[in-house]
Amino acid sequence: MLVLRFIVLIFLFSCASLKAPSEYVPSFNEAKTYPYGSYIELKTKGKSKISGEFIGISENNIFIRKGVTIYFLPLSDVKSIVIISNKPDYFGIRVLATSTFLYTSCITNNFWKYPGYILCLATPVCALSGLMFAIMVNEPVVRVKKLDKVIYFSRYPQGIPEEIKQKSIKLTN
Amino acid sequence: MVVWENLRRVSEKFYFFHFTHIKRLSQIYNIHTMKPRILILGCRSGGLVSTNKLGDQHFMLKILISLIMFIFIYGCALNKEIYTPDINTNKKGSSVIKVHMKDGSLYILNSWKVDKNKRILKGNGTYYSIDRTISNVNNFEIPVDSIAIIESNEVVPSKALELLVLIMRVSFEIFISLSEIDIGSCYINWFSSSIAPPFEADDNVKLENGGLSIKMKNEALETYLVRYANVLAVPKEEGSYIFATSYKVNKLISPIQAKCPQEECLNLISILDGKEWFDLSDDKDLGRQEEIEVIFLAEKDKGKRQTLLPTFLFYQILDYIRNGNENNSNGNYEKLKEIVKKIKRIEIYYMDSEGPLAIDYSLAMLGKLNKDTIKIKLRFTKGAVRLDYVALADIKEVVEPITIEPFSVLHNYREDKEALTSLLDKNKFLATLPGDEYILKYKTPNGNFEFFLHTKEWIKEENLLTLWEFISFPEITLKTLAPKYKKIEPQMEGVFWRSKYVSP
Repeated sequence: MLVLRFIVLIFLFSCASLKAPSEYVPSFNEAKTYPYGSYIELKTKGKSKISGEFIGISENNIFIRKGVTIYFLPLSDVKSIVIISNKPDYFGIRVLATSTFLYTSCITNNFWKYPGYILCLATPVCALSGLMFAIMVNEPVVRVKKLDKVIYFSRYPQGIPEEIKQKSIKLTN
Repeated sequence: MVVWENLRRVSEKFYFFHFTHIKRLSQIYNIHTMKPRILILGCRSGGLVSTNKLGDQHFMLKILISLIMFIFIYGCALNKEIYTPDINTNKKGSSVIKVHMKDGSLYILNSWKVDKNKRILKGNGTYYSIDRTISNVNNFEIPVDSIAIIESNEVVPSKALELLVLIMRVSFEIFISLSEIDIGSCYINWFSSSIAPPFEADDNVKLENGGLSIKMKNEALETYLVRYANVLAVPKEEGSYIFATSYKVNKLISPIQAKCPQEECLNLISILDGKEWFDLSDDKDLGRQEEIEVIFLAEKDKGKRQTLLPTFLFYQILDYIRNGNENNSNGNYEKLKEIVKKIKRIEIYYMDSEGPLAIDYSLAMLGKLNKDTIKIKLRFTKGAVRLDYVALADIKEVVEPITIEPFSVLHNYREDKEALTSLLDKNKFLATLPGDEYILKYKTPNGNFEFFLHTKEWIKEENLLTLWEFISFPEITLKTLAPKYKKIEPQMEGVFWRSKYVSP
């Protein structure tokens, strides 16, 4: 039983992931000194998706780098924007998972004959943990409503340099 | 023939919670009893109780709380702030800032300060060109006028997480404080013998006008809940002895040889005189086992078949535990009972038997004896057993004890009918607070009887988490506790003897 618990612990320690290419998203600690823009996912009105590094906004166009190429498309074609600024705090998530596991393990160990007790004591904690997981994983995710806030996640919040604009390619739907 | 053991006391190691006692009250001339209350030292007639609060040892709780606190610390978010350089005051800082230049290049500074007079931002860090390749790592002096915006990303506690962690911790602590455990009974394996030297009657037990009066005092620091406190009266003749409340014995044979660890013990265990053999616990593992070998010179049976004791005797000690489990509402009782049994138990090996003949009770049936010398091996946890007397006994007959309930209870010397009702009603219990004193009065029958006090009580236990540790990791806990227990073991000996009620 003890061995089983430790095996589960190992798995818990390796859980949690973010659906974004790791080359675009810095870790929680690296984010402070990350020189590039945040990872951005756009959904266009034509139901296509484009994602990459958020370069900036200029003259009602939004610029995104995918690979070595910078693309731009009109803001009017954009339906929704999601920005992921950094990876979640994985250490905190692991700690949360482990503590939840240990707590529920203690509860079931003591009250294994009484499922009612387990339900009452473990459920609130598990529910809270689930909430916390969701918060911690989604903390770096920004679902954009106002574009004026979005700009500060870009590589060039002060405005895109001309030479960058000239290299960029217009993206069609 | 039956092996008879008389175990007087068990040294205290752990908190234990539920006691079913049968104590012998001697004959009129040999009043030998003990206080019916268990001191903080624990079960007077057997069991494991600790005076050492295990509150520092619940590592499971520590792990959980520290982890929860970690979450509080590590449940963080990056708070992005954008501002223009303030040149009205001289400022400096050690937090990382990103300085976005008007030409699109970037400085990331680890430490910085603003020089108001010269209108420059000085700092140490890295310079990135427009295409974000590293151009320089150095100290820089950046003209304020060429700065577009400054960005900082501070790590701040997540508000949502803070609230959730707080709720979790409060819930956890409420759970801990409200929990109580009724673990189970400690079992009896001590009976005083009527062949003990006569003791003086004292204030705690009195024989008066065909009755018995017993003083019951809670000298512990915990609340004790007493289910019942009855007297068992067993009729007997002159020259016979009663053991295990039901077995009349005529003859006791002391051992002729004994082999104990570390010291000579034959003199100590061949006479029932209150002088016990005992060993100190192991300093690395409180669960370590040791053995004593005892040899008797017995009379061979002359063709007579011995009646085997019924099985219920073998499980007598376990019955006490089962009886004590009536009100158990905690599933871990069974598990704790198993663990404590393992620590406390005494295994009895007869001759060269491969497995134990009997485990952990005061009478073990040997059956028909075909040899003159009988070799018995006792195996038990080091430091957990005090052995006063080991003997062979010939059971004459099985007798039925008479149960006598109290007819009057005095609390602080005043009649307490409610206390009496609580003791007589099997669905109720008498709660005794530290310092409470009760006098229980019984009407005894005429004739020659051996008296036993039969009680059932338990302690309200609050060290839930310690129990969790003990239940979850008993072997590890025993090894962890060993050094701590060794430090207090010498004092516990003295405390225990000071608590002893009867002295020979």
